[in-house]
Amino acid sequence: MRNPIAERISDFLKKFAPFSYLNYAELVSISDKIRVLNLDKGEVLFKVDQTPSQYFYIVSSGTIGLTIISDAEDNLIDKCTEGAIIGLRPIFAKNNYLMTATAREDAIVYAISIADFKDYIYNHEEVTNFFLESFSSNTRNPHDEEHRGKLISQNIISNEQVTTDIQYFQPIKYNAAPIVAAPTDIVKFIAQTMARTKIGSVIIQENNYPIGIVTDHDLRAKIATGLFEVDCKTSDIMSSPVVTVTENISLAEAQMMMLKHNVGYLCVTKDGTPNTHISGIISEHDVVVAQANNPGVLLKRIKKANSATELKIIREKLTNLIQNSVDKNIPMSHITNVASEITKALTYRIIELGIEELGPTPSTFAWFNLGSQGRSEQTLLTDVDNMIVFNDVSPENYDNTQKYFLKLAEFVVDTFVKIGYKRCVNLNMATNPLWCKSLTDWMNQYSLWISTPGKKGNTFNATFFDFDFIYGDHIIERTLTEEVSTKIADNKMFYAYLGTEVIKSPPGLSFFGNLNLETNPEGVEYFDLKNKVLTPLVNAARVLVLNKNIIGHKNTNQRYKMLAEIDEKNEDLFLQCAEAYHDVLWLKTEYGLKDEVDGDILPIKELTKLDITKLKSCIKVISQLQDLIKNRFQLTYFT
Amino acid sequence: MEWLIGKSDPVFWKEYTDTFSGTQSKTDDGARFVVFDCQKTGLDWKNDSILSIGCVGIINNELIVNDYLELYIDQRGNTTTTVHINPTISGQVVRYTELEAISKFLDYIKNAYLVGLNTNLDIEMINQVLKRNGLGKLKNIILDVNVMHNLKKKISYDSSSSLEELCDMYNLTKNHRQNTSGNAYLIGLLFLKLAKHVKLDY
Repeated sequence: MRNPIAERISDFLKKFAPFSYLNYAELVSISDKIRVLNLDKGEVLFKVDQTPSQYFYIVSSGTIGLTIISDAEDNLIDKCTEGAIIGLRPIFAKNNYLMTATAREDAIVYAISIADFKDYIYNHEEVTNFFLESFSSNTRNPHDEEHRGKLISQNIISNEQVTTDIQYFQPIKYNAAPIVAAPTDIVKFIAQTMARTKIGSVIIQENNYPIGIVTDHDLRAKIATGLFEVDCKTSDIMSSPVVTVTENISLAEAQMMMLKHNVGYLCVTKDGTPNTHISGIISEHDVVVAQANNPGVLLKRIKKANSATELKIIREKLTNLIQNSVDKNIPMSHITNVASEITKALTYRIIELGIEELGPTPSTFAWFNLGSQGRSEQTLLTDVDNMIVFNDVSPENYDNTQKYFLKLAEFVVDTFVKIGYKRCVNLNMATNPLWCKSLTDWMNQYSLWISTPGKKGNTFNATFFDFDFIYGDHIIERTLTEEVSTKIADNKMFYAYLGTEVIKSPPGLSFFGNLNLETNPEGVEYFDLKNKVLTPLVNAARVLVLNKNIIGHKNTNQRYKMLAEIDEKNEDLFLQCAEAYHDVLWLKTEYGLKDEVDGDILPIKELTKLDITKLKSCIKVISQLQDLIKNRFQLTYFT
Repeated sequence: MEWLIGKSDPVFWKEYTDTFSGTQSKTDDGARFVVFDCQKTGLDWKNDSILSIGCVGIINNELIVNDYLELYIDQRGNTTTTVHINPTISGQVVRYTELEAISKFLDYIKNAYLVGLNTNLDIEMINQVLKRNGLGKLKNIILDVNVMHNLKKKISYDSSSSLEELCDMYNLTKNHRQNTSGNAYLIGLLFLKLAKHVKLDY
């Protein structure tokens, strides 16, 4: 008797290897023996160390996550979607499962009896080869390098896959009782203390504030060489100032700070500046102990990468890292910090490659990232915004210089696209001749924006006030920042204009307190996270800090924290904003990663109740913020 | 043919009723569920008749593809005039008489829990068939996926949704062929999704 259900399943299976090698009659007879399982989000299909079942599984719909346990934590190794085969281990090995398979969203799974399928494996050469290849090559599906999401070899845990370890985001353990000395102490005695306690550095303090550090390196370079006598004062040989960091710094940040300042020791103080008391010391050794593999490695690899393909692979690793951090509830600020450092290094390297390709630059220049990259809060592969400011050149050379930098910009943006980023739809990129010009032109541009922000034909975009210096000449950056900072002081028109932008954003909640949803052409309801929540929060933070003439803080979350510090009256509101911003960024990252999109819109059906509640409370904060801005900049006249 | 006038019941009916004589296994330990869907000539339970029945079995929250039955019922000799046979089922398929079909159906379902969508009409029509042949009513416990959905969503007990609406709500690919076996399969998937959320208490 015909079995229409089996035929229906065969129609699905024949799209995927290795089933595509079988003929239809064989497929139907396999399908006939299938069992169909439903897994709710979070339900476990099989667990690590569990005795293998007599079935293996094909994902029909939904997503199954494969995790392994390392360091007593679950680490996501792979996400399996439609057509992926999992649980094959029992076919080839007799031991237990090595991974745990959990539904990451509601899933329907076909279970095929291994005993029934074995005949097909050995009777069809293509099928045998498919399995052998996939087991030997470490990739899941040897025929699909691009998506490699179809076949999971249960018995292979390659070291490559574990690099996504998450420990780097966890706070680093450090010595909270460092040995300190006074600047007037004699070097000889300090060296004796160091030898006795087997430490490599001593912090030099004055009233418990760090003013310098004496390390093995100082003793080697300054005493042993005879430059200073062994009974001189420590203040003569200490390295000063000492690099300070805040408490609860993550491993990744610690390592980044060391790389950045090229030091082996970091002094921990209460708030991360040398103006508070010493609370500990982090040595390179602490970093080594705490890590096996980390974003620092990614940074190093970026510096050595020579092609877009290499960079793409590294960027994919960052995505894994972010995914794992989100899974483990690592604070968003840690994630954005690390992600933005890597993005910066990426941009830097691409520019270097571009200059290698195009030859020496005709003049000094500065490259700035704008938008989310400029604010150091980009986590997903969203769009790239940037601008080039080159040093003034003589008018006859202007065109040629601009042409060179436009070419450079085209190279950089093109490489970003190859890596997986998107071009900015508003063309806020240095490839646009409008945003690739000389310093004087840029200064004029900014004054024009600041003096007549709303004027027609004056393409104003507030993201240009979130510029982050990446590459080139520091003097250009400083000149530009100073120019902007003096021009915006006390310019009521400008603030009013920026403020109006915040107030104009569409409300996120309806009159009855429900989320205002949109519907796309396919009839699926979604929530416009970018326009209704993210943009107003970002814009509000920008206008408020610019109003206080703070140019340095780029990150929206940091901006709100800064505002909370200087504006005591509204401290609560600003702290709420800082938190709301992280919550929203979290949602964006989580759902963006899940569906591999930019996360600007949220599919409302997939949100959990908790997420919706969070979202609603974030939106309530925005309306308070809008009121504040309305009053502060007296916007009632404008709207 | 004595049983036609009620003197003695046919063998298949006896066998069917016998399956209920023991204690029926509880829902949580390996009980068998049969998901079914009927295609009918219309919505009048008295005058319309069943065109086809599709069924698939579920044990231990696993839908078992080869535990399956699809029956087409020959409409010739049927008194109703509203017969319009769907072209997709008028091909080369075996057609049974009403009596043969119902005997095969009962032999297949045995004492399983019957699962369906908006089951009232279907059950009533099956009972009519049984009555026409001088037999009693269905003895199986009947679960309605729609009721389970309402319970889960805590919405009004009697609000009813079509299969298409439910598929949309639970992200299932719809059955475009509209055949009973395909519908039964989808109802089965819905049942799997809902069974974990609704306490089956009877």
